Amino acid sequence: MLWLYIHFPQLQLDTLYQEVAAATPATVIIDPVTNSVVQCDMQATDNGITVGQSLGSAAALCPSLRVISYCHDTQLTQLEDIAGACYQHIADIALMPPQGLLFRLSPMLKLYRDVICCWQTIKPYIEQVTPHYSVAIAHSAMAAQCLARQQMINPSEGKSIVSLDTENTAIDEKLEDVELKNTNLAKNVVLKLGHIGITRLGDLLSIPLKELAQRFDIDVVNTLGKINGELRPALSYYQPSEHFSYYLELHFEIQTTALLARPVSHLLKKLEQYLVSRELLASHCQLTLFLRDKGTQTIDIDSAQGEQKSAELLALCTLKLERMKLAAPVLGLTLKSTLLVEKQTLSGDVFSPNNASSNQLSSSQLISLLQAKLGAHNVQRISHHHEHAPEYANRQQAFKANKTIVNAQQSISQLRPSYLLPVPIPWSEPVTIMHGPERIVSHWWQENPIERDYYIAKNKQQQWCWLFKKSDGQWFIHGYFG
Amino acid sequence: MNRILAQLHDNHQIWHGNNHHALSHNISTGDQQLDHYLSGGIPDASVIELQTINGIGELRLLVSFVASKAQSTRLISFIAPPSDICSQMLANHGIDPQQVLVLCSEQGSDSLWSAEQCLKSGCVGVVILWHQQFSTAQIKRFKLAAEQGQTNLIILRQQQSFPCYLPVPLSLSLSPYQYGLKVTINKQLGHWSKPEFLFDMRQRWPDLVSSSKPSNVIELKPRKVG
Repeated sequence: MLWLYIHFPQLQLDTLYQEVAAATPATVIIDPVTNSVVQCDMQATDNGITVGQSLGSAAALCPSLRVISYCHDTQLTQLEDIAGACYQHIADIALMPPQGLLFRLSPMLKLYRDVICCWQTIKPYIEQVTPHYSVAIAHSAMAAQCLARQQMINPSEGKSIVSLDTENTAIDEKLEDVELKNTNLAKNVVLKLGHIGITRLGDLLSIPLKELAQRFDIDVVNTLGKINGELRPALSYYQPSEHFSYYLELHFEIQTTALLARPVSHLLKKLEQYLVSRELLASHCQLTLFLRDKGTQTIDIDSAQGEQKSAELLALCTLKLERMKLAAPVLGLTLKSTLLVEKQTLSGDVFSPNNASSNQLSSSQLISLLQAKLGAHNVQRISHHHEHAPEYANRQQAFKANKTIVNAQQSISQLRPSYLLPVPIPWSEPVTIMHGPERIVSHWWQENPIERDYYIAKNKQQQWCWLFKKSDGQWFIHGYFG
Repeated sequence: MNRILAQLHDNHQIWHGNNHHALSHNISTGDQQLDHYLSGGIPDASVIELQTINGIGELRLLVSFVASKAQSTRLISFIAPPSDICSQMLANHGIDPQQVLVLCSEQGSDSLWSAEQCLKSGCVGVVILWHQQFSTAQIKRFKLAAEQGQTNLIILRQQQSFPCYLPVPLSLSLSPYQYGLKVTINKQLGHWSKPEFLFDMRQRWPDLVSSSKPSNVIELKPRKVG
């Protein structure tokens, strides 16, 4: 069995969202429990800061230090993100939080020629996320982990170390050199072993297991067994989630909606990658803004047709953002896809002149765009129903993508006004009645019974009005003939 | 033609009074009467302005044009209408209500924006916009957008108190008349000025014209209602 382990020493630091080309100060990630540096960037290293230093000494070395607290969940999300991208090529991926990913290569060698070919396939996805990583291969999962960690201790050149030896002897040789602190042994055990002069894995492996079991607890034996490949570690393999969800932490405050476009487009690009690899379209997304002291604010991005390109989603999103007001500065964003649809290729009319230029929209795209700008309730469609009362026969309601309205067939061609008032208005001006009456009475089973005599009349401005008289003699205007 | 004249002609420095057809491509309004008065129809993929009050028959004037545009699967959009648009009336004139999109907006700038988007999109056949004030630049934008989307924009606005002509290819003023509408052509690109004409609605909408009084009927005073 061949296992490939990728160790990421500074994942949280590498995936911090920062504005491009902005001069960033030296940054370190601090573990809030031990108050020591766990990850530090190039600038910090140049200032003499090393991993393991306390916050006090780090701050003393570099006064303009930017300190961010370590977050286990962020690391986990990043690992899931990488696993999601690699999942297209390698089936068995186990997350080894907080710092590693484990790939089971043996079954994949049926698809790929060799290990190098396998690695080349997933390499671009890793490089996209972070330049700092270390890759090792071994015959057991834990051995691969130890080797990858060991490699990172003294990086010779460059930021990443890749060793793809599959020779048994070469792996064993390297394993013997692994320092005990890079294994999964508990710290106190490593310390104890150090006291008796055992610092390398090779020394430990040369001691018979029986003797070890007598002196140390069962964990040591178990760990060694896992490294040897005699025991199988319990691994839970990665399962891709059905929906896209991504949280972006901003390390600065954004107060205007115009500035939000950059981080939002960063998120939408991630969504695009997700959608493209799955041949899906996003029909509805939710953008949640985490505000300082004010909870959250949510924006719904609807697209009737479904979009894949980040540019078009961004256009919809910008329109929504323009309309809203931020109650407090934004500290973080989450983008979640809530409705995904299968991508269907629309085949347009080749000979239609409208298809000539490429920037034409389909009607559902146009409607989504208008809904984003005007608000969903302001984009309306009209429908015609089998009713006699004009209010029920003609309805104007908000456009809904998934709702189709069946219009009634026109049976009798009655003269109807083009402008219909939403509610009839009492009328008291003199008019000249030109035609009428046309009596409209509701059925006995209907609610809100009506009995109206409709007249067509002309008023002083020569407008053609549609008036009705109720049975109690009150006059109302209900529309105009445009 | 002598040499100098030929040269001027080749440089397009001479305007011919009789070749105005080349200026704009007119399309039929779907109504023979109107086509006749407008010498062939209305300019294609452009902006038309109607100065009118609402409710005198302004939509009836162009309903056959809108219906002809609705024959394709393109949408018809009504932007910021003064009240609800009646679907029965549209269905009566052969316009499928499913093709109709009604856009309301709280702000005038939003309706201008929506009109431009509709024109540009290429999926809308006719845009009918109710709006009062326009800038020259805005109309120019509309013209470019209409050309891009091969769409027509019909602007409906109130009669202007002072003649302020927008750079539209066709501008009409409508006023009520006994048998229909009195139409004044304020401006028609590439045409000589024409006298106003009467648009007769007696045939198509016999119920919406004031009928001529037979001589043996005594007229009563207008009834006061309410």
